[in-house]
Amino acid sequence: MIEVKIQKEAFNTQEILKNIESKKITGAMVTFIGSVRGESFEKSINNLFIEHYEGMAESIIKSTAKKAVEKWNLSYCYVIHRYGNLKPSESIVMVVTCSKHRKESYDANEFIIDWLKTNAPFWKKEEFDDGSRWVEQND
Amino acid sequence: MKLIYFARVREIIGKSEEEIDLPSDINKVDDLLKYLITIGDEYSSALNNFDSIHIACDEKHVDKNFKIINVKEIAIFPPVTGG
Repeated sequence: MIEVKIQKEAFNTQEILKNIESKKITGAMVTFIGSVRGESFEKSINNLFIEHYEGMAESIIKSTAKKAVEKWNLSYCYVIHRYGNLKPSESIVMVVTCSKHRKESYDANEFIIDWLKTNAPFWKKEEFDDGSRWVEQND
Repeated sequence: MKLIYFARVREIIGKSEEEIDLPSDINKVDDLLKYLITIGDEYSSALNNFDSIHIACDEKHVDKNFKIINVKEIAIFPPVTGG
Protein backbone atom coordinates (compact mmCIF):
# COMPACT_ATOMS: atom_id res chain seq x y z
CA MET A 1 0.00 0.00 0.00
CA ILE A 2 1.26 3.48 -0.91
CA GLU A 3 0.17 6.80 0.57
CA VAL A 4 1.52 10.14 -0.69
CA LYS A 5 0.63 13.57 0.66
CA ILE A 6 1.76 17.01 -0.41
CA GLN A 7 0.49 19.77 1.81
CA LYS A 8 1.02 23.31 3.03
CA GLU A 9 0.11 22.58 6.64
CA ALA A 10 2.53 21.28 9.27
CA PHE A 11 2.33 17.56 10.00
CA ASN A 12 2.74 15.67 13.26
CA THR A 13 5.28 12.88 12.83
CA GLN A 14 4.17 11.04 15.98
CA GLU A 15 0.54 10.97 14.86
CA ILE A 16 1.56 9.64 11.47
CA LEU A 17 3.60 6.86 13.08
CA LYS A 18 0.76 5.98 15.46
CA ASN A 19 -1.60 5.75 12.52
CA ILE A 20 0.80 3.47 10.64
CA GLU A 21 1.29 1.28 13.73
CA SER A 22 -2.49 0.92 14.00
CA LYS A 23 -2.47 -0.78 10.59
CA LYS A 24 -0.73 -3.76 12.28
CA ILE A 25 2.02 -3.91 9.70
CA THR A 26 4.53 -6.44 11.00
CA GLY A 27 8.30 -6.74 10.63
CA ALA A 28 10.48 -3.67 10.06
CA MET A 29 9.61 0.00 9.79
CA VAL A 30 12.18 2.66 8.85
CA THR A 31 11.43 6.37 9.10
CA PHE A 32 13.30 9.32 7.62
CA ILE A 33 12.36 12.87 8.64
CA GLY A 34 13.96 15.91 7.02
CA SER A 35 13.56 19.24 8.81
CA VAL A 36 14.43 22.90 8.24
CA ARG A 37 17.99 23.83 9.25
CA GLY A 38 18.58 26.66 11.72
CA GLU A 39 21.40 28.17 9.72
CA SER A 40 22.98 28.20 6.32
CA PHE A 41 26.45 29.51 5.45
CA GLU A 42 26.73 30.78 9.07
CA LYS A 43 23.58 32.88 8.83
CA SER A 44 20.37 32.23 10.78
CA ILE A 45 17.43 31.14 8.67
CA ASN A 46 14.20 33.01 9.49
CA ASN A 47 12.00 31.21 7.00
CA LEU A 48 12.25 28.47 4.39
CA PHE A 49 9.99 28.96 1.38
CA ILE A 50 9.30 25.80 -0.61
CA GLU A 51 7.85 26.15 -4.11
CA HIS A 52 6.49 23.14 -5.98
CA TYR A 53 4.98 22.03 -9.29
CA GLU A 54 1.80 20.53 -7.98
CA GLY A 55 0.70 17.88 -10.47
CA MET A 56 4.17 16.70 -11.30
CA ALA A 57 5.36 16.53 -7.69
CA GLU A 58 2.65 14.10 -6.72
CA SER A 59 3.05 11.86 -9.77
CA ILE A 60 6.85 11.65 -9.35
CA ILE A 61 6.63 10.77 -5.66
CA LYS A 62 3.93 8.17 -6.33
CA SER A 63 5.89 6.53 -9.14
CA THR A 64 9.06 6.52 -7.01
CA ALA A 65 7.21 4.92 -4.11
CA LYS A 66 5.73 2.34 -6.49
CA LYS A 67 9.19 1.44 -7.82
CA ALA A 68 10.45 1.02 -4.25
CA VAL A 69 7.48 -1.11 -3.19
CA GLU A 70 8.05 -3.43 -6.16
CA LYS A 71 11.84 -3.63 -5.89
CA TRP A 72 12.04 -4.22 -2.12
CA ASN A 73 8.68 -5.94 -1.68
CA LEU A 74 7.48 -3.36 0.84
CA SER A 75 4.29 -3.99 2.78
CA TYR A 76 3.67 -0.25 3.17
CA CYS A 77 5.14 3.07 2.05
CA TYR A 78 4.20 6.56 3.22
CA VAL A 79 5.63 9.86 1.92
CA ILE A 80 4.59 13.35 2.98
CA HIS A 81 6.22 16.58 1.73
CA ARG A 82 5.36 20.18 2.62
CA TYR A 83 5.41 23.35 0.57
CA GLY A 84 4.90 27.01 1.51
CA ASN A 85 6.59 28.77 4.41
CA LEU A 86 8.35 26.77 7.12
CA LYS A 87 10.30 27.77 10.24
CA PRO A 88 13.57 26.20 11.46
CA SER A 89 13.12 22.70 12.95
CA GLU A 90 9.73 22.16 11.28
CA SER A 91 9.49 18.90 9.34
CA ILE A 92 9.72 19.20 5.56
CA VAL A 93 9.48 15.58 4.49
CA MET A 94 8.83 12.17 6.04
CA VAL A 95 9.36 8.81 4.37
CA VAL A 96 8.20 5.60 6.07
CA THR A 97 8.95 2.20 4.61
CA CYS A 98 7.81 -1.16 5.98
CA SER A 99 8.91 -4.67 5.06
CA LYS A 100 9.42 -8.12 6.57
CA HIS A 101 13.10 -7.48 7.28
CA ARG A 102 15.00 -4.28 8.04
CA LYS A 103 17.42 -4.23 5.09
CA GLU A 104 14.64 -3.83 2.54
CA SER A 105 13.08 -0.98 4.53
CA TYR A 106 16.42 0.83 4.92
CA ASP A 107 17.39 0.45 1.26
CA ALA A 108 13.95 1.46 -0.03
CA ASN A 109 13.81 4.47 2.26
CA GLU A 110 17.19 5.75 1.11
CA PHE A 111 16.25 5.17 -2.54
CA ILE A 112 13.03 7.18 -2.17
CA ILE A 113 14.58 10.21 -0.45
CA ASP A 114 17.58 10.24 -2.83
CA TRP A 115 15.31 10.08 -5.88
CA LEU A 116 12.99 12.70 -4.47
CA LYS A 117 15.88 15.10 -3.83
CA THR A 118 17.06 14.95 -7.44
CA ASN A 119 13.78 14.55 -9.33
CA ALA A 120 10.72 15.80 -7.46
CA PRO A 121 9.89 19.40 -8.48
CA PHE A 122 10.33 21.30 -5.22
CA TRP A 123 12.61 24.31 -4.77
CA LYS A 124 13.80 25.76 -1.44
CA LYS A 125 14.53 29.41 -0.75
CA GLU A 126 16.23 30.36 2.50
CA GLU A 127 15.32 33.74 3.95
CA PHE A 128 17.65 35.63 6.29
CA ASP A 129 17.64 39.03 8.04
CA ASP A 130 19.62 40.53 5.18
CA GLY A 131 18.19 38.78 2.13
CA SER A 132 17.49 35.36 0.68
CA ARG A 133 18.99 32.65 -1.52
CA TRP A 134 17.68 29.75 -3.57
CA VAL A 135 19.21 26.51 -2.31
CA GLU A 136 21.53 24.77 -4.79
CA GLN A 137 21.30 21.04 -5.45
CA ASN A 138 24.70 20.29 -3.90
CA ASP A 139 24.30 22.42 -0.75
CA MET B 1 1.70 27.01 -25.94
CA LYS B 2 1.56 27.41 -22.18
CA LEU B 3 4.92 27.98 -20.52
CA ILE B 4 5.31 27.84 -16.77
CA TYR B 5 8.32 28.92 -14.74
CA PHE B 6 9.49 28.01 -11.27
CA ALA B 7 11.84 29.26 -8.56
CA ARG B 8 14.76 31.40 -9.74
CA VAL B 9 13.62 31.23 -13.37
CA ARG B 10 10.15 32.51 -12.38
CA GLU B 11 11.62 35.34 -10.32
CA ILE B 12 13.98 36.58 -13.04
CA ILE B 13 11.42 36.35 -15.87
CA GLY B 14 8.94 38.07 -13.58
CA LYS B 15 5.93 35.83 -14.19
CA SER B 16 4.87 32.32 -13.27
CA GLU B 17 3.22 31.42 -16.58
CA GLU B 18 2.30 32.73 -20.01
CA GLU B 19 0.87 31.70 -23.37
CA ILE B 20 3.33 32.06 -26.24
CA ASP B 21 2.86 31.61 -29.99
CA LEU B 22 5.96 29.76 -31.04
CA PRO B 23 7.55 30.28 -34.47
CA SER B 24 6.94 27.31 -36.74
CA ASP B 25 10.63 26.38 -36.96
CA ILE B 26 10.78 25.43 -33.30
CA ASN B 27 10.77 21.64 -33.09
CA LYS B 28 12.80 20.67 -30.06
CA VAL B 29 13.09 21.88 -26.46
CA ASP B 30 16.56 23.11 -27.33
CA ASP B 31 15.09 25.36 -30.09
CA LEU B 32 12.53 26.73 -27.64
CA LEU B 33 15.17 27.73 -25.08
CA LYS B 34 17.33 29.36 -27.76
CA TYR B 35 14.29 31.27 -29.01
CA LEU B 36 13.27 32.46 -25.53
CA ILE B 37 16.77 33.84 -24.93
CA THR B 38 16.23 36.18 -27.88
CA ILE B 39 12.90 37.69 -26.79
CA GLY B 40 14.05 39.73 -23.81
CA ASP B 41 16.82 40.47 -21.36
CA GLU B 42 14.92 38.86 -18.51
CA TYR B 43 14.69 35.59 -20.49
CA SER B 44 18.34 35.59 -21.46
CA SER B 45 19.27 36.34 -17.87
CA ALA B 46 17.04 33.55 -16.49
CA LEU B 47 18.06 30.96 -19.06
CA ASN B 48 21.68 31.84 -19.85
CA ASN B 49 23.03 29.02 -17.69
CA PHE B 50 21.68 26.66 -20.31
CA ASP B 51 22.98 23.39 -18.86
CA SER B 52 21.34 23.93 -15.48
CA ILE B 53 17.89 24.53 -16.94
CA HIS B 54 15.48 21.61 -16.65
CA ILE B 55 12.38 21.03 -18.73
CA ALA B 56 9.15 19.10 -18.23
CA CYS B 57 6.61 18.63 -21.00
CA ASP B 58 3.11 17.87 -19.73
CA GLU B 59 4.56 17.08 -16.29
CA LYS B 60 7.27 14.67 -17.48
CA HIS B 61 11.03 15.40 -17.36
CA VAL B 62 12.47 15.58 -20.88
CA ASP B 63 15.91 16.29 -22.31
CA LYS B 64 16.74 19.14 -24.66
CA ASN B 65 16.40 16.95 -27.76
CA PHE B 66 12.78 16.18 -26.97
CA LYS B 67 10.47 17.03 -29.86
CA ILE B 68 7.62 19.35 -28.94
CA ILE B 69 4.65 17.57 -30.53
CA ASN B 70 1.14 17.66 -29.07
CA VAL B 71 2.45 19.24 -25.89
CA LYS B 72 0.08 21.46 -23.90
CA GLU B 73 2.35 22.70 -21.13
CA ILE B 74 6.11 23.20 -20.87
CA ALA B 75 7.66 23.86 -17.48
CA ILE B 76 11.09 25.50 -17.26
CA PHE B 77 12.99 25.42 -13.98
CA PRO B 78 16.38 25.19 -12.23
CA PRO B 79 17.61 21.93 -10.63
CA VAL B 80 15.18 20.73 -7.96
CA THR B 81 16.07 20.98 -4.26
CA GLY B 82 13.29 19.21 -2.39
CA GLY B 83 13.50 16.63 0.37
